[in-house]
Amino acid sequence: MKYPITLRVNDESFELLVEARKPLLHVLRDDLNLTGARRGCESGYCGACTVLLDGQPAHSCSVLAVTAAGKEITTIEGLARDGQLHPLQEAFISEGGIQCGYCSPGFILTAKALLDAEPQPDSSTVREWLKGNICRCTGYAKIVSAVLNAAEKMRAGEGR
Amino acid sequence: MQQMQYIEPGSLTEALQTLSEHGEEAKVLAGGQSLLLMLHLGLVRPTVLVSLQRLPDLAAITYDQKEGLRLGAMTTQRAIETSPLVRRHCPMLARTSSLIASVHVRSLGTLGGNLCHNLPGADPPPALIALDAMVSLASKRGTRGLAIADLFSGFMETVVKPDELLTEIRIPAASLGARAVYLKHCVRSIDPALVGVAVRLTLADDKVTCVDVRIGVGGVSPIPYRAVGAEKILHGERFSRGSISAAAGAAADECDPITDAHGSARYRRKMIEVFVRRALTAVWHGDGAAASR
Amino acid sequence: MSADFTVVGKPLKRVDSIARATGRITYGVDMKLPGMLHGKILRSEYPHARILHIDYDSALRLPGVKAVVTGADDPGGRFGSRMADQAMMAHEKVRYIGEPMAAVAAVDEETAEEALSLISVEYEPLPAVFDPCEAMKPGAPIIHERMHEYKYWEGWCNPRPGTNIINALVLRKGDVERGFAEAAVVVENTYRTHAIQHVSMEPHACVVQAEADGRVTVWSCTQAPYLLRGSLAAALRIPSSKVRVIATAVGGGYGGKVRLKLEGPAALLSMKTGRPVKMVHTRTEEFIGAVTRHPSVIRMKTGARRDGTLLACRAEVILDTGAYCEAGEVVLWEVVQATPGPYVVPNVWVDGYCVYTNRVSAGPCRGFGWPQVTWASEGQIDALARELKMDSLEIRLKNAFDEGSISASGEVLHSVGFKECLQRVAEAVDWHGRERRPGHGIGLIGFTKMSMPQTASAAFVKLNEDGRIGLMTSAVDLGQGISTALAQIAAEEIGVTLEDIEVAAADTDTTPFDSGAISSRQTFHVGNAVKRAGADLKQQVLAAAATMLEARAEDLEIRQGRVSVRGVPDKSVTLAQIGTATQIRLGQPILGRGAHLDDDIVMPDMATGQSPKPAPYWKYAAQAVEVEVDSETGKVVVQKMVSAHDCGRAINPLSIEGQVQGGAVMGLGFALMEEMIFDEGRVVNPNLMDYRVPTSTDFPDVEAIIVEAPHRDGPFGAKGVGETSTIGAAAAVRSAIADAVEVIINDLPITCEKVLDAIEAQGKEKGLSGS
Repeated sequence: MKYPITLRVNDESFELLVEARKPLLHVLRDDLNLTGARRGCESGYCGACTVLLDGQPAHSCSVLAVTAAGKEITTIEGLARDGQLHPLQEAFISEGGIQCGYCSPGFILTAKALLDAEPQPDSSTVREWLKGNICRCTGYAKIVSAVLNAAEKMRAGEGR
Repeated sequence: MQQMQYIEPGSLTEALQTLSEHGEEAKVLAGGQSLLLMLHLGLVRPTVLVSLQRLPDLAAITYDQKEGLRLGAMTTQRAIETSPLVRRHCPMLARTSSLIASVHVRSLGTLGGNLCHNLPGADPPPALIALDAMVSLASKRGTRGLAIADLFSGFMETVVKPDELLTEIRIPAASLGARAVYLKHCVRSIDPALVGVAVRLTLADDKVTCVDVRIGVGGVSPIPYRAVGAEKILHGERFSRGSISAAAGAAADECDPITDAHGSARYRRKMIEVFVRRALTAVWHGDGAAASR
Repeated sequence: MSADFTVVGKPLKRVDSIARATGRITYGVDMKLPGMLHGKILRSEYPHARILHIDYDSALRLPGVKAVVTGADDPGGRFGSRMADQAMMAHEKVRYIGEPMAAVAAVDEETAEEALSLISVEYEPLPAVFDPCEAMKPGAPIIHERMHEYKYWEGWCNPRPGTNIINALVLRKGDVERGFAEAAVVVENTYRTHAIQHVSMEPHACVVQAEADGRVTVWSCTQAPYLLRGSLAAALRIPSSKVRVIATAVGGGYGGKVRLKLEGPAALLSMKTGRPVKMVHTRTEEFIGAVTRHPSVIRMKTGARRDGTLLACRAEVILDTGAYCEAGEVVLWEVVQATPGPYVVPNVWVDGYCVYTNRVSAGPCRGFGWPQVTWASEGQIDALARELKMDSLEIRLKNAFDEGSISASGEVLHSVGFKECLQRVAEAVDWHGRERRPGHGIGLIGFTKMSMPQTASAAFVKLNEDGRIGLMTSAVDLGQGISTALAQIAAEEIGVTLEDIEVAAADTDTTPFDSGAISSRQTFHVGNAVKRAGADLKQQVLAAAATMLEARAEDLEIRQGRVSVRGVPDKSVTLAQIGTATQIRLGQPILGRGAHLDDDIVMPDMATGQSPKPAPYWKYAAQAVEVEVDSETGKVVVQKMVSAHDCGRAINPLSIEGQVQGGAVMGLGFALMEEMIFDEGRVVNPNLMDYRVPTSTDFPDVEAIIVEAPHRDGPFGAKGVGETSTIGAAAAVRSAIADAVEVIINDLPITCEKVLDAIEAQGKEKGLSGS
């Protein structure tokens, strides 16, 4: 059955009619053309579908769209502002934390939630937070250094 | 494709009414971290989803000196992990929650959902067993209380009836402030427990005689359980390397382990001995709420 | 060395990173076309069975279903790497659980999925075989009865029709029996490795549109557009140029996305419906319907003198290629050439077999057979070191290949940075000064890999009207950074900056031939093609500028976007001016062409495996791993890993480090946690809960060390490095465990249970012997 819902995504409101069984991931990708949230395993393990729900990282494949109404949803498309990359995006690029890039939106969003909660994490806290995101390309080293690098820049007030 | 109805009751009464109407054909949606996988794989095909999103009362954490710690079924694992009340009064439980999967899963996954899913290797069940937790199951017909160990009835099965809702988990005051530890053995920290052992211990004033001990075991068999045989060996006896060893051996003897992709039954049996021993040792030496892999 | 270059050798930001960081990039999974249908595949439930009847009437009647195809609709052309043994769907019989038998196109995925459940199949089960050694025995069920019909490339394959052996190859050098007779110690062991899955974060995905004129357009996250084109054309029995492959971005490949998978059935469905058809694997299908690493059984006997000099090596290598060879025949061909490892061994005897079984096909998987033989060959070196009470590093250095060494296959080796790799790794873990602690150990090993021969690459570079350079190749950037590396090479050759290069996506209608992102070959092969194309472009630019400036071409130089007379900077013209002029009125538009063919390859003699030049180049590496072993649980925790690689020349050091780190962690996963578990041919754990891929908390940061032994044939001396760090990790871990708790594990994966069992067995032995 379809239900009318309003989704707040990247500070914009969308009126949609969605199937009860449809995960948020599919609504983002198919109805809103926000393909930065990715299809990886669609079973809650790989994290390629990560979005922020009220600032917390969530596997959008494991959230029904109908339950996401009333929450602030942030996808990777909402991170860069006025053409300027978020410090995390800059850091992932400069540190070599992106190879194939498929997992990158998920990692960047999770890292954002971490830095919003803990602006000065140490590397083991970073690793703990990131274990809900799988990367098959990098071995994680440059992802962790990208997050630490961004944390430093954000503390120093560079970027946003 | 079968149509699926989505209902979001606005009160507990409404939720129980809905469940009594739809019963068998319905599934309860808590955090969705287990249910959505089941839906995706076609392992469950409900025609009605009864969502608990609009029942914030079910997510409350309260503490009372006499009643103990009460956790609403919709409390997320992340809330338990970070709750000042839980950290103060039952740090072992907070630590146990922090070992589950990832921040992503813990932000949405609920304690009630975890218990009702009863996946082998889940961390809360053995911890709650060691804490002598009680659960409340509500329905239109009334409310019943159960010891946590009696909740689990089979592989991914509980005694929760189709018209019932698990509403609350209560840890009695007597269990709080005791020495308690949960140890998890797994290959990757994000895995379910191959073997998960929780111990709660009350020692006499001599710090050596066991007044009371509870050993909860998970990951080993479809039903998380109390290692009663091991407990009997220690009850009223002096703690020592010898008695700990004997208890650990009894725990290994009395278990009925499974073989799955994560480990064989044979290996699990050996690990029960190791981790019961390690947990008893840790809790005896006052490692408090320490939980390590 | 690298300081002599302006662009090459610098850790520059990748050209495509902003798209990847913002999510504004189209992977195969993201492709959408108007009017698109969604396809799903019906897969075999039996490991080996005749297909008696497929009834899909009910499926066709389901509202929303537009077409169903089966093997009956498939023109039946066979494709493969060097052996064409596979059709796009099963005909007559199925050979593994998961084999495509039918495909459905419907208006959405749920409907297509439901339609599958309405298709009924009548099978006649046949006896099946799941173990390659069993499959080699006389009387084993024959999996490919038509093997005698299969076409293959000469020099690569020696099939044995009437058996399950699709390739049988040998290496013969010297006299192994005499070598063993002279040896002071001989060690002999059997080594086993298992199947793993690539687990690319992006599953296989494609959109295929059959055009009205018989052409087929494919958008696919393929690693090799021309190889996909070739296999699809062969499968459909149409000329190659009737197939157009447009490469989307790829979310990880690692060898799993080299050849046709979904594209064939999607093409048939598109032909039947006249609409584009999209197909995406579920994660489960990635496990049961893609390809895996080749499981192996390797028996090796190695003899050495008292002083550690290697004398002889005899090996039998058995690769389990599953139901179809999917380049297994090539994997065997490669590893037979250097089975003993990167060491001088005067007497070598290798018998290699690539064998069919009724399991999901094994195919290219990062490392391509070298993780398996390295597991065996390094185990042998470790065993000899133990017998001789010799240091692990010392015995390797003593026998290690060097510039000018003669290989087991008779080649005089060039560009051999192996010893330096060993030494740098030893330094990084303080090998000689390391502290010995109970339960802690360090393992140090070395290994090699070739890049396969008989591949080709071509490149075009064009000068745009604005002076920027367009780079057109069919190279595919899987994340390894090849687009950036090629742009760096082009920029260096032409004399412009990285920002001046625009890299086009691969499209077989316009970008020239390339054999694909396989075998760590693109930097070397496409890099050479790009370098030559750049030189060609430069010549044309200077000629045009000479006309415009009324000067001589040899007096001109390109600097900072301008061509000027050397020493007379005022007499200049910009690249933009040249670009515009040549497009409109002067001469012809400037297009540089370049190609690289492996034209000096000599294919090995089939009777001996000997050749003076069997491969374009070899890579060398060394790794060390430090572990802590919990003797009560058998759990192995990796504390540190160092990985040193001779890559010839590091075009982009940042990219190379990333590749090394990622490959090493994949190798640690292979060693300690990943395993495809089979039960009578069925994959028991086709999901990411039960198949354990390393997460961020499982292994430490890998320290990558770059060693440069420039190759005379490589662009600026560069070789390749993509696969290498995956190859040795398991052998290094085993060595470290042996160092820590004195147990040897020769069967992969190294599970907690195996380690614990070995420790307990050793304890019993010690107890019995009273020590």
